[in-house]
Amino acid sequence: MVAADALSRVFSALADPIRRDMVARLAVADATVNQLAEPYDVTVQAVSKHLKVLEDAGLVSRSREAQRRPVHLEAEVFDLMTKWIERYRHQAEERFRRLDDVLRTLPEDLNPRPGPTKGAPR
Amino acid sequence: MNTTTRQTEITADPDVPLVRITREFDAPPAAVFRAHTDPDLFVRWNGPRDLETRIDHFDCRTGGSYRYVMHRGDEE
Repeated sequence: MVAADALSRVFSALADPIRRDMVARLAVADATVNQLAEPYDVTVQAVSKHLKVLEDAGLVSRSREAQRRPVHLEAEVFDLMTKWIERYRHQAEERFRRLDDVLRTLPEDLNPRPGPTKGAPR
Repeated sequence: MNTTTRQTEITADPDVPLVRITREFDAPPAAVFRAHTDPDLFVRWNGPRDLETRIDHFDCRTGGSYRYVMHRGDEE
């Protein structure tokens, strides 16, 4: 279950408001660790730890060559999450297409309330 | 038939921990409401395609309750 593990890492990496904020900022442009740390009331070391989590999840990478070592967002990793969510969207859409079919069989001037209820509440 | 304009949308609310599923239907609101409140209509569209809905009780009113079991053959 390699794919599921990767997905778990991505979801848990993003289950933190500072890391989500860092991702949002990196979506605009690459940034150095110092630049990333600037707006937060935490140490650069703490930001480095957050970055490590994002890096392990594959969400960000850091170039080895450039001296500034800017952090880069690996946006294609979001496809994993999108695909996961899309499966549920597809299931809902299937259900609502069946509802479309049911609605087509109903008269236009229908009373929204059905007749007597079915069964007795517990 | 063009269905692309009313595809299901799923959005996460930024302030409340909930997921919102939005879908439009080419039908009057009364009909859509009825399809949710009439158990005989509800079982015709509810659930994943490969599961059937068996209603235990369906008391659709404020303060009411409902219970249904999804099953596939003998599997519940």
